[in-house]
Amino acid sequence: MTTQSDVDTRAELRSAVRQCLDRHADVWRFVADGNDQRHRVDEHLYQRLAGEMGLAGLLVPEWLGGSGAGVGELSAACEELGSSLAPVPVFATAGLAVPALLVGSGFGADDVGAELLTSIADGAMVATLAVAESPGHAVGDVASIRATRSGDAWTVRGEKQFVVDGAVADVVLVPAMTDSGTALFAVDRTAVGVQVEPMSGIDLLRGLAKIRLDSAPARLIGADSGAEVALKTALELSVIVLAAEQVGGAQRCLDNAVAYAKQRVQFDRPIGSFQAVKHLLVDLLLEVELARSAMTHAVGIADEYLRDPSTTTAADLAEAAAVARSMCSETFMHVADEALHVHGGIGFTWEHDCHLYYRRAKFCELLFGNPYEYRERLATAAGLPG
Amino acid sequence: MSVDSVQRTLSLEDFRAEAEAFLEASVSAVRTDHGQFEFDDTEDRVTLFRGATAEEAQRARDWQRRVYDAGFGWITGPVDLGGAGLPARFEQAYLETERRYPVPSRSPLGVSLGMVFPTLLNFGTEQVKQRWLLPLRRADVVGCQLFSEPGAGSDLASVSTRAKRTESGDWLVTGEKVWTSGAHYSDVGLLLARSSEGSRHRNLTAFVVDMHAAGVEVRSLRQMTGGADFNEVFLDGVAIPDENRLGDIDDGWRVALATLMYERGAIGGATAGGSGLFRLDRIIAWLHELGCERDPAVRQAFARVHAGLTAAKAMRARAEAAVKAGTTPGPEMSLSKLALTSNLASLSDLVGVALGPRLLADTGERDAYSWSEFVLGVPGMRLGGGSDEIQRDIIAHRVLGLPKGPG
Repeated sequence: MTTQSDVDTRAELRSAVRQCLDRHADVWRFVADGNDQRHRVDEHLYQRLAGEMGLAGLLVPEWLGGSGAGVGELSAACEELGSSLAPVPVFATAGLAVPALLVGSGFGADDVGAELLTSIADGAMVATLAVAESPGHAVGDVASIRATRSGDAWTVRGEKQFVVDGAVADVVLVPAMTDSGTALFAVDRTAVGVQVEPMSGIDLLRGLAKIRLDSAPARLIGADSGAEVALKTALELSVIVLAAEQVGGAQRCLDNAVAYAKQRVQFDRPIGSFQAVKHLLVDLLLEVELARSAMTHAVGIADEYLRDPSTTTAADLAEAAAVARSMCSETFMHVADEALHVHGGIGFTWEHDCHLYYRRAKFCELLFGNPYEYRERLATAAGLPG
Repeated sequence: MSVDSVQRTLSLEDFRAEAEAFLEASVSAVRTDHGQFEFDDTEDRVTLFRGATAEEAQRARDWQRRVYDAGFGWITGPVDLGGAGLPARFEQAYLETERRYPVPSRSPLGVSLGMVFPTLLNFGTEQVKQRWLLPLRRADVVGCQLFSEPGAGSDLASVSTRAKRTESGDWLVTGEKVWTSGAHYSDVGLLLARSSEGSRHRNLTAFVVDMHAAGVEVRSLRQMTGGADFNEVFLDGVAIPDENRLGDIDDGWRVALATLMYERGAIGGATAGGSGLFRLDRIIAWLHELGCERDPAVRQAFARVHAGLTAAKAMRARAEAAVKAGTTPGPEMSLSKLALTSNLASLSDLVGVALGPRLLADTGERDAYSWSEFVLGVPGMRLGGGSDEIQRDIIAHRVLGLPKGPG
C-alpha cells in the first residue's frame, strides 16, 4: 500500500531532482554530433544526483549504505530525468545494474553483490548490465559468452552489444554460461582483456557500447547456475523504471506541443483552436494518462515484489511490467512523433529539441524488446499458454 | 438496517455483514436478469444495449424498492432527505457485495437514479422535491432525459422545442425529442426547452414534465443492433405548472450542464473495468473454449485489451486517490469516457480476430455469433453521453487550456 507519507516523500524527491536538473543540466553541451560520435556523460551532475541526492542507492538496502526506499521513489526521480534527457548514467546504474545485483545476489546475501551495491549506493561507482549479444538474439540470451573457472577465479570470453552507458561504466554486469548453467558476473572496465567500443547511435544523449571480453577476469555474483529467473525478474524491474522515464519524456513532449499550439498563429488564429490539432492533443493526453496509470500500477507491484519476493509477487510483476512496458513504449513513441508534427517545420530542425525526444523514444521502444514482444509476454503472464 | 441504526457509528465490516444478510435473505425472493456490460449466464447474448422491456424495468423497480426499504437505496444521501448518511466507501462496499449475488440488474434505472434524481435534488422547487425525490429514489417513479433533438445533437444548446408561458404563469411545451433512453417506462422527464429569443445559452429553461400528461407521445426507435433502447418523444402543447421549473427562467443551460456532469460521472463509474464484459478472467476462459489461445494475432489483440483495461482501472484509482488526498482530481475523470470507447474498440477487435467468420453467421455455438450484437453496439457508445468529439473539446478547453474554435 502506498501511504500518504510515501506520496509526500516522492513529491519532495521529485521536486528536488527537478530543481537540480533545472539548475545544472545543460543537455546541448553533451549532444553527440558530427565527427565526435562518442557519448559523454555529465559526471558532475551524476555526482550530485547519484551521490549527494542518493538516487543510485534508492533501491539499495540501508545495511548496505543505501536508503532502502523503493521503485516508487526511483520512478519519481526517473520521470524527471526522462523529462530533461539529462546525460547521466542513472538508469544504467540504478535502473539496470542495481536490480540485477539485488535479485542476482539474493538481496545482498552474496559478498560480491553486497560490495558492489555498497559502492554504487555511495555514488562512487557507475555500473550497467550487458543485456544483448547480437541483434538476432532474444533479450538476456547468453549463448556465446562463456565463463571459465580456474580455482576460485573466473574469466569470461565473448562479446556483448548495445550496452547502455557501457563506455562510461566502471563495472559491467555480464550474464554468461558456466559449465553448470547461466550465471551473473561483474567485470571491471579497466581490467586486462576488456575492450569497450562506443557504438554510433540514434540517441544522442545516451550511449550504447560494444564490449569484447577476451579471458577477462570476472567476479561471480550468486550461484554459478540458474540465474535466468533472477535476470528475467531484474529486467522486469528495469523496464518499469524505464517506463517512468518514458512517461516523463512523453509528458514533456505533450506539454511542449500544447504550449506551441497556443502560441503559433496561422490563418489568423492559434493553431490550438483548430479541432484537428486540439483533438490530436487530447488523444495524446489520454495516452499519456493511461501510460502513467499503467506505470504507477506496475511501480506498486514492483515494490510489493521487493518487500516480499515470492513466486506469487514475481508472477504479478511479470504481468504488470508487460502492461506498463508495452503501453509506455508505444505512448512515448507516438507522443514524440505527433508533438514534433504539431511543431511543424521548426520541429524538424537540428536545433529544436523535438528530435532528441524522438530519438530517445525510439531508443526506449526497441532496446529491451518491442511492444509486440511485451504483449506476447503479457498474454502468457495473464494465462494464455504460449 | 433501520434508519435509527445508522445514527450509531457503523464500521465498514458491520455494514458489509448487514448487506450480506440482506442479500442472502433477498436472493431467493427475486428473479435474476442481467444488465449492461455482462456476459450472460442464462441467455446466449452479449450486448451493450439491452433494450429493457417494461417487464425488465418493472423487475428493476421492484428490486430498487426492496433495496431502498432495507436502507441500501441511497447510502450517501442525507438522513433528513431519506438517505442513510454514510460516506462514499459504504456505497462502494454495498455495490461490491451486491455484485456477488444474482440479483436483478438496476441498469434500466441508470438515467433515473444517476441523472434525473441528482438534478431534481439540486434544482427542484420544494414542491418538486416533496413530490418526486423519494419516489424516484425508491423507483416508484422513473425518470428519463429529454435533451437531444433531431436538430440539436452535439450542439445541444440549439434545441428548438418551445416553452411558452401562459397568462397563469404556467407553461405550454411543443417540440420533438429523440434518443430518449427508457421513455417507454418513464413517469417523468427532464426537459430542456427554448423559453425566449435571448442569446445562446441564455434562452433555455429546464423543467420536469409528467410523461403521462396529455400531449406526450412516445414512439420507440430501433437502433442498428436491431433492439429498441431509445425513443422519440413528441410534445404537443403539453401543460407544465411553473412549480415544475428547474432553476431560473432562461437559466436552463446551467441545469443541463450539471445533468451532463452527472452523466459523465455515471459513465466513468460504470467503466472502471474489471467487471461484467470487461472481466479478464472470463475473456481468458472464453478464448480457451474457442481454442484460439495460441493464435499470435489473438494474443496481441488480447494483450491490448488487458493493458487498456489495467490502465483504465489504474487511472480510476489514481483519480480516487487524488480526491481522498484532498487535492483536485486531475484530468482522469473527464478522460474516462474516451478510455471506455477505446477499450470497447479493442475488445471488439479481439472478438473479431478470435471468432473470424463465426461472428458473421450463426454456427449454433454458444458465445460466438451472439457477440455480433456487442460489435454492432460499439459505434453507439462513441456517440452517446456526449460524442467522443464533444468530450475532446471539453478536455481541450478545460484541461489543456486550448483556445476555443469557431464551433
